[in-house]
Amino acid sequence: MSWHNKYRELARNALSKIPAYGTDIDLSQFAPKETKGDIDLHSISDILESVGISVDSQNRAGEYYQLESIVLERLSKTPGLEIMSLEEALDIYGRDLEPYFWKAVKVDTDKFTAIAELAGKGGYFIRIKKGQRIQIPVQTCLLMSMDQSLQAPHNIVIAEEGSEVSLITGCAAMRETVGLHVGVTEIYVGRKARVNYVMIHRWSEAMHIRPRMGVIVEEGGEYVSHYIAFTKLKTFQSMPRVVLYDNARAYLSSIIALEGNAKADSGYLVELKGSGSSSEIASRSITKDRSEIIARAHIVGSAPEVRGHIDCQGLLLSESSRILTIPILDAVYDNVMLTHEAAVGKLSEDKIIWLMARGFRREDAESILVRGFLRVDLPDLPPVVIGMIENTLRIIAKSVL
Amino acid sequence: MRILEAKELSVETNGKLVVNKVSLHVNTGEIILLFGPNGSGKTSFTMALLGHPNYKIVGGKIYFYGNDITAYSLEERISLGLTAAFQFAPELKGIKLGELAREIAERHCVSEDTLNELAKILQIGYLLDRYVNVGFSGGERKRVEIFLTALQSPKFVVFDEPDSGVDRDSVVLISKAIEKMFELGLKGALIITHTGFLTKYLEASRAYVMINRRIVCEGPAEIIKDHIIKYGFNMCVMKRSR
Repeated sequence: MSWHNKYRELARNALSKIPAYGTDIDLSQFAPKETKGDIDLHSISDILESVGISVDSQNRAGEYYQLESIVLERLSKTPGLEIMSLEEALDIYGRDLEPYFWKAVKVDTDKFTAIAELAGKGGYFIRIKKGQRIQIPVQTCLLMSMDQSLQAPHNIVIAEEGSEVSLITGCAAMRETVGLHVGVTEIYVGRKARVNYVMIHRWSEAMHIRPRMGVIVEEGGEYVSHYIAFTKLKTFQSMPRVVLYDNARAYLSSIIALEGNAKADSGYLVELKGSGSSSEIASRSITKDRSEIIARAHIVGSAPEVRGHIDCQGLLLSESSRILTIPILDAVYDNVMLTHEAAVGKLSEDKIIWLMARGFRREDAESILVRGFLRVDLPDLPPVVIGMIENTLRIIAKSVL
Repeated sequence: MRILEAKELSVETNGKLVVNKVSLHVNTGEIILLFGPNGSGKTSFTMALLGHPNYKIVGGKIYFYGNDITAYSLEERISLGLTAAFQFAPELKGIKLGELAREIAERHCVSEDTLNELAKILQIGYLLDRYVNVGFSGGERKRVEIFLTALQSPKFVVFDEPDSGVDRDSVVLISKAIEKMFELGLKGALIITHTGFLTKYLEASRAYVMINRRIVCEGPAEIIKDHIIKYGFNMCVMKRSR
């Protein structure tokens, strides 16, 4: 594929490019690993369910599983829904995919996008055909289990005009391991289409996580994203870029609860490029032990009558942890409305006492307050997705204390 | 029988004496009023009865059904059926009133029917799907506080200024809810008030007046209330000094 070579060339030139945010990682320590791929998913159902994956595939329109670099399963159970590995899609569609290939994310963004192009394997290709509205979610699952492993799939999602889909992506380590996960995901939301994207992460203590994500939402499209990580890890950095054209809307939430010595630098960059487009970014950060979170949110308003709002909240559950929120509002057009609110603090002792006066034990009172803290809007999601998110947040609220 | 008795109770918070040798008691079936100006120590006294860890009892005793509970923790006191409806209940962003109400009711074996009945009496059904106290008016907050307290099915409650800053209609609803609480098993209540508005709709037997951290007088609720309305809180001080 000669058209592909230019991307490989750009990637080669970016292999040493230090990322804009987060801790730098020495890529030479990690390499893609092959496995037999004969895993019994039922034997790890606890792990899978904790990241929103239904092992028996109930209430799922389709699914994709990848362990390390091996694609275990890809299956569509719904007409108008294509699911395959990116390699298969490139074989079938070739250059027809170029409009969706490294366009929402630049291949030379940094060394992580570069390594994904040069050494990454697998990744899902999901396309929802024009006008198809799929009411039950598609699930994708990326698993790691081997030491010094690099998992760098390149995922592409295309929601054609007027279509709708909900994607649940669960990423997890099957055991304590040292590894680097670089999931590149490009999402193209067509005109008047809607994508609901839920990503849940659960890693191990010595892992580095560097998702690279870009989303382009065409006229009148909607993109709703919830990123949830309740996890041990070593370092995490991600700053998805979401571009909105005329009257497109995005609601983006991230809920990150860290423990141990984990360090995360997480956020969203939203570019309101089309008139009447709007976006809300909501982040909820919880730190305990000695963990640290930098919560970024950046909205650029560059078209008439755009609206953007940032809501960053942080909750410190230990004296040695740290949360830094960095909201940035950038208006480059005069007729825009951009706002933000931010607060970082501990659990309120007054609220705990009041709940105890209502008959709750201290730990239950704290859990209720954490549950309230974690609550974010779940706008117009399918009931099965809302139930899954609420269940995950309940587990986090109970477990985090 | 005395449900609650404070004997010579002295309380400190942040190293300051905020309640000075206060004695009062509440018998079974009684509603008692505690009057007093702002800053006299009424809320501190309430917090000390509740067992709030920031309010240190430095003298005296608290008895509940004759048992000395002075050293009991907040949780232990709540489990005995003693609680307080707060003057200023907090906002709980992210927690819907209906969810919290059901959790409280389930913990205290209060049925869904009773929950619905209390919500109807207090006219707060429309608030159940909203976050607790977020954006509520003063009257709504007071009614919600009574609602959630009632769902604990308590034996004894200190109501801290349930009639302050609320309209007459809310006062009527709150008094009806307190009556309902007695039907559901409440055995006695201490109502802290500036005005005694609630006694238009609820019968209180006795009243105490607290000024400058001390109880300065006590007597029949109606007489004390009328005197306060006519002469202000200092009436008790003057009477005592004569």
